[in-house]
Amino acid sequence: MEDQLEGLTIIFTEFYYWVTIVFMFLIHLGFMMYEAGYARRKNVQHTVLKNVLLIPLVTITFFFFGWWIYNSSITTGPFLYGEWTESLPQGIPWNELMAPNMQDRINGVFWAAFLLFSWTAASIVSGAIIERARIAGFLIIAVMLGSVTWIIDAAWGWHPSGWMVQIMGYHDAYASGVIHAIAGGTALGVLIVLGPRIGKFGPGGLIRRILPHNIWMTCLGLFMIYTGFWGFYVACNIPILDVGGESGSFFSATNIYLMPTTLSAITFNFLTSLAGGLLAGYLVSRGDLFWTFSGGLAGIIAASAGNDLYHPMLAFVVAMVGTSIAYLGHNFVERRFKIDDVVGAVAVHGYAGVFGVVIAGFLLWGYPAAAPVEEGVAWFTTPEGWPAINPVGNTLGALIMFGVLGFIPGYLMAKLVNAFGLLRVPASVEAAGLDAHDVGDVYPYLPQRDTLFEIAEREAALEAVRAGNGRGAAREEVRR
Amino acid sequence: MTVLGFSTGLDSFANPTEIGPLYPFVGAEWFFVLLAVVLWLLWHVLQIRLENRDNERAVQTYERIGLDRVMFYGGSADVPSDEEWARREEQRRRVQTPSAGEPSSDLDDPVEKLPPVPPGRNDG
Repeated sequence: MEDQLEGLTIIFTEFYYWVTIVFMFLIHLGFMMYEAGYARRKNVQHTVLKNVLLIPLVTITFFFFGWWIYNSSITTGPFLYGEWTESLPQGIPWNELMAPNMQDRINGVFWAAFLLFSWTAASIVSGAIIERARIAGFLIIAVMLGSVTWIIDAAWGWHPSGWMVQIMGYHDAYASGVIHAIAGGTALGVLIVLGPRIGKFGPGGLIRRILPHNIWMTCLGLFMIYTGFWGFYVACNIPILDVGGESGSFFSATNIYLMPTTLSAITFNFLTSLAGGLLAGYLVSRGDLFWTFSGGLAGIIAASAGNDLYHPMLAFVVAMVGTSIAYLGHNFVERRFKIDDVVGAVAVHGYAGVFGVVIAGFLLWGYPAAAPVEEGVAWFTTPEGWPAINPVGNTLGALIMFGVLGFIPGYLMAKLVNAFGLLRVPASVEAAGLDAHDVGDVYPYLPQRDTLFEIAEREAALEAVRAGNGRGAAREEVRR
Repeated sequence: MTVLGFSTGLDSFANPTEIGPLYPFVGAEWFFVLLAVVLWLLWHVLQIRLENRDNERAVQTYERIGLDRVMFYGGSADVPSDEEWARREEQRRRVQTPSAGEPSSDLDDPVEKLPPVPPGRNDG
């Protein structure tokens, strides 16, 4: 940085990403409040602890190997054109660039921005499995998702040289698929192995509604997530780049594929997709507070894949449709397959994310996905020969995100940790409450009032214990 | 003025264009990473042992004092004594099969109707 303009550009870029990281912290404040509010009183402290511990563990593992994966030759793999390249030095944990260094101001803030995305992915799973999951098992799954699987999909589909972008024309500007669909898919895989909370499903297809202990705190948490989402959107852009090409210099912000967009564009579209999601959430849930707020989040996620380019009213409509799909999908899956997704994470992130990626392939059909790294490898190209966004690439991409890198690893890892007895707490511990032993009541000075569900749950749990199932199973589980 | 003849890294910022790493012990990065990896794995082992032990103690406590007693009081920190629990059970039985002349609403407001629970932990 020997001239002032270069110095200003680099230090502005460093500061830009740093601000996004601080904003994105609010996502995690929001996730914690969201989960804690949705947990019953007897599980609140365990829920908070489980959520917060993913932060240090994903942080250090993302330092060890997450960033390395993103910067490695996996970008061009697994079966792409050309030769596999050497890992870029800034990803290797013992390289001098992975530390304070006067010759590099970007690697640390870039690493941290991606790390905050990793926390988000892991937090999405956390909310789905509260009130019966063990901390140990969840943290292993969080490391897998936050520092391995999601960053592989980022290398494949969220990097201008990624094979999904170059060959398939995959486009997912604000991560409907690369973060939300994969996390939703992982959550679904884990939920199938984990099973529902005791008493959630009764005889004759009965689905009991388990009330959150503080819906107001949950809504406030969702509001925090919206706020942090601003930082996320901005972090997905490159702030200043010369995109002029043959016509001379022209400086602009770009999306993560280095294709031009503006901060104004994503500001329009973030707000209109939030609006569409909130309005649809209210309508489809018939005025349910939780699903109105969750609808806002689902709306943003549904429109995110194309929010660098959509018209604001197109983003609004996409958000409304995506939110409706998420809500209806959640209820269908709960009723049909008896999946107990406590906060609707699979729906809000998974179904809305998949929809968002698929619909972007149709709505942005023919747009350039990225500059070509190698000629002639893309399935569909623009007239200039650049990889083109298309419905086939995005639909297959959504399946890769949700299924191949989300559901399958989530299911297998859940099976593995379950085999060691690390996935679910013993039945009697769950029934008594995860805070019941040693920890104590989260509101020791407030009287308790049993809900109808808690009465039913107590009877079901006592019946299981009397029959020898609950205690026996619990003991067996602990011994394993 | 004393000149310190030892430095773990830099001893001058006079020529920043030639400065790369700012941290001390340059060249030992691999060791820091290795140490951190060992601590990370050790943390998981210790956490799993801690959680296993806590769950086992909880299960044993619930077996000993009865899960229903813990659940009714919302935790094992303030479970009722045997005498208190027996009295409570008797009250519940009376509610379920009220005899003539007895009130049937003993459990309407447990906080009002029941004597205070003895304090103290009972977790075995």
